[in-house]
Amino acid sequence: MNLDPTLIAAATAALEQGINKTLQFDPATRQAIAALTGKSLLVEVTEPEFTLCLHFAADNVRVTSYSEGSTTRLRGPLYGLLQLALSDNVNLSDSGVEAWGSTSLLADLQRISSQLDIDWEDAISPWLGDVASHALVNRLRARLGWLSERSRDGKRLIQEFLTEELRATPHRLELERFNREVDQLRLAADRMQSRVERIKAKFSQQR
Amino acid sequence: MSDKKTTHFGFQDVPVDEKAGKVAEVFHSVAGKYDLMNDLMSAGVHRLWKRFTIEVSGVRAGHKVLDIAGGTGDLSYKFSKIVGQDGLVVLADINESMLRVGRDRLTDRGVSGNLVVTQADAQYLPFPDNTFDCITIAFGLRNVTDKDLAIRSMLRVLKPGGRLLVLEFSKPKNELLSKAYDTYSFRLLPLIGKLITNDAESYQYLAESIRMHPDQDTLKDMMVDAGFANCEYHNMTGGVVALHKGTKP
Repeated sequence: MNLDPTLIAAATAALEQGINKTLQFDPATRQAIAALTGKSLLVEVTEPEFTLCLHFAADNVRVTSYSEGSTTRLRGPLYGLLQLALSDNVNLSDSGVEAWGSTSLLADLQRISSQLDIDWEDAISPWLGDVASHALVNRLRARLGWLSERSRDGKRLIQEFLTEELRATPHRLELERFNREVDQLRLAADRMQSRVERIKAKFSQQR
Repeated sequence: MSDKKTTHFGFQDVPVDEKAGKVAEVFHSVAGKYDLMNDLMSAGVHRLWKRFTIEVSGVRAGHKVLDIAGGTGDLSYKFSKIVGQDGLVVLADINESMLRVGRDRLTDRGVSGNLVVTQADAQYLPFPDNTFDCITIAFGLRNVTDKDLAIRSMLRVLKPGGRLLVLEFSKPKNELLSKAYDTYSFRLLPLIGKLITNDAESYQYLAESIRMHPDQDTLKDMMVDAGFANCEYHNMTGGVVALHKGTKP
């Protein structure tokens, strides 16, 4: 699908403004990004098809849809790229994502995003005032903390219920052992097939 | 019958040596409210067209960029940020009033050290051969008296491998859009010009000059004839505007 460059420019402008506005409220991340000056990351999304390039500079991040000579290139489906961006997994295998160029930039970006700490209080205080924004952000922080704790607990409980009580899914260790056994069985079958071939060859020579 | 060579100034035929003066009058008249009018006439979309031009330019830190017909300095401002203190941006315009507005605006925005402002005619660029990594001319080529001469002059001052980007109004690809655009250009534009700048004639000229400007393929052929390689164009907003790109071999 070929989108009009005007629409693409509008989308990249909005994204760029969003990123730079957010960075204003996290000086540590801004400083970490400044250390990447001169580097650029080209992201080629295959499904749906579009391209984005992030250019890192001392005081901002530039987002473009058209790029040449980027230092690092990532290519893959949107789902795989998002999964990679949102999880702690740094392994590209099984994600359908391919990488070229300086992969240290990817590690740097993953480290920076994991340390992202936006000062929302500072962001909303111009509108609500210092006291109200402090109270609101404190309340939201408490709620979010409670929610993330519950979500962690919930995830663990569901996992235990499915594996231990219901026995609907195997435990990760059981699955790994099963996979190892399948590998050993495949190797044993291969060896047996080779022996059979050798015996057959021996018999046909004797005849 | 006079033997004097003529060229078009909007829908009028004028002697070649008079066109530059007439164009200058138009821009002296609109310079003060040029940015406001651009925003009003395009509903701010001209910023997106310029943004895409910067993306396609491939300009990097340390590059030398020439912004011809740079007017109020929209492109120069962005380029000066990208090229950094090791690079150079030359904001050039033939019109003194436009250049003055551009220079003041860039100074107010804190641009200094890597920007030079110069009054120059696109047909006879006062720079040595092979000087710039990139040249842009945004909404300026249609006002140039001899476009072929200007394109050849740009080729001369570009470094080998350097790019020329021409951002200019063009011909909409869709018949319906073309009709709507015509109505807008010839009825609404002069009216907005009259209301904001009290100068309907300049905006009548703007609409007419857009119609007289070569279409996408003709301009591409002109660039190829001048000696540019890898010439291509991107239609924007349905072809209302086109961005032409060519590389000096």
